[in-house]
Amino acid sequence: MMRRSQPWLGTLVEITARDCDDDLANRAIDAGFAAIAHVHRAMSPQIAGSDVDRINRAAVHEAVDVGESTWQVLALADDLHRRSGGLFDCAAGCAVDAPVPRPSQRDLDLSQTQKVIKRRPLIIDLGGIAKGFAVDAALDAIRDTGALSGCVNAGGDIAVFGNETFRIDVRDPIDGMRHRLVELRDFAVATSSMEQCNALFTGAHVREVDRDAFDSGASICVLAPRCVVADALTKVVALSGTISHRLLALCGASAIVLPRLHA
Amino acid sequence: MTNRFLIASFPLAGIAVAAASSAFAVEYLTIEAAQRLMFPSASSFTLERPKITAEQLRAIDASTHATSQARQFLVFRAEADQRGDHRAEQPILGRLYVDEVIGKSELITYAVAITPDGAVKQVEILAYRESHGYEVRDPRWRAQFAGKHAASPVMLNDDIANISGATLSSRHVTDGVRRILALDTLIRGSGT
Repeated sequence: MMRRSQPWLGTLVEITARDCDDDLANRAIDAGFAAIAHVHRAMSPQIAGSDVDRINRAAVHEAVDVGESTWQVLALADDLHRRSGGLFDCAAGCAVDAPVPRPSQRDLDLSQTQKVIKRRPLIIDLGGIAKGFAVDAALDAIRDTGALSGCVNAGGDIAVFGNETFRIDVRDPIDGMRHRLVELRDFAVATSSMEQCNALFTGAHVREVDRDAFDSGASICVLAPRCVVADALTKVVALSGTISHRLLALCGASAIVLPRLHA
Repeated sequence: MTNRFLIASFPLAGIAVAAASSAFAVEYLTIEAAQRLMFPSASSFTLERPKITAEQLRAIDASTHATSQARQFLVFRAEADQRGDHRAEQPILGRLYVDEVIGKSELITYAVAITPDGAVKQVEILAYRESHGYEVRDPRWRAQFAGKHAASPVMLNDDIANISGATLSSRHVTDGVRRILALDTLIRGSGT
């Protein structure tokens, strides 16, 4: 087994390769980190010239060319936005004093392939979905090298492949004291705290009463076949206030709530 | 030449090895493994002893807003094999820095490979530690796993993936890399 860790995506990303010699393991892990780095450079809003940065700086009606990965993420975000009745919204982080009706993902024109046009002034943040996408991309890259089993962990967004079962200690991203042990085989898991979801979706079209369904100190953990889906669905669960949202079943996913641990 | 003996005598290397015995610690790479990984074509690594004054260090900390936790950072010069004339100067492939920063509460050891023209080539975490070991010893804390995996009693060891507090840790490593870059500029300028 070989395991390495590098700082990407605003977290520490850990990649494990199993069932192969050191040489293949290093090549597999290198390929995984290269895939992560690619997503980081395309989708970080803090990197000048990234796809997301250029979308955010673009004028209304200006067509912005984006790379294939960003396009895939935006297409999936669009699908999740529609199917969740607007709960999942990567444009929801706009300033609280934004004009009413608040800007949302629906104000993005995605009708031309790999071109993004804003119909209204808005900024997007793919923080609720890009990390999961990066984890999947890394896992695919590792698989392509011929490695037989692997695990990618981007600060709690985790996906594994191969014949082996991986034991994952799911921990609250903010309060490491809270745990749940899950066993994964060819599956993914993502965890978000309510605090993180609320920060990301400050202006989401959600009634406050729904948001209070879970303790504000709770964490949402979603298991799904792909990490990008698990990552995005933690936000849908957090904002809908239910672990049995119909999107979960549709995606082959399930959710666990880690309640606040009282001392 | 080999650097095996140099490494063994350094406190940082000792810390990286000791990490493996603590429940919430992961040792990813030894310094030697990081050298081979980050400069695969290098034939030797020479430990440098750059003369940096306390004043210069303070200036770097101030300008990069980052402070190292290491008692002493390590810097190795990666050299290519110079066949034939041993008196000739070895071509430099870059430098490898080993440094430590505080993660969430405990030290993270990391390595930065820098090219001869001062660009970051690669960053690798060598060892990651957490201070939550007391949880593992607390029977009430362990009880939450009871019955779920009776056949395999839970040991928080190598086969369980977990990184918590990683956001903060990542930021501190990124700050540390910025500081290392400033140090590298200084070291290259002094022609060590």
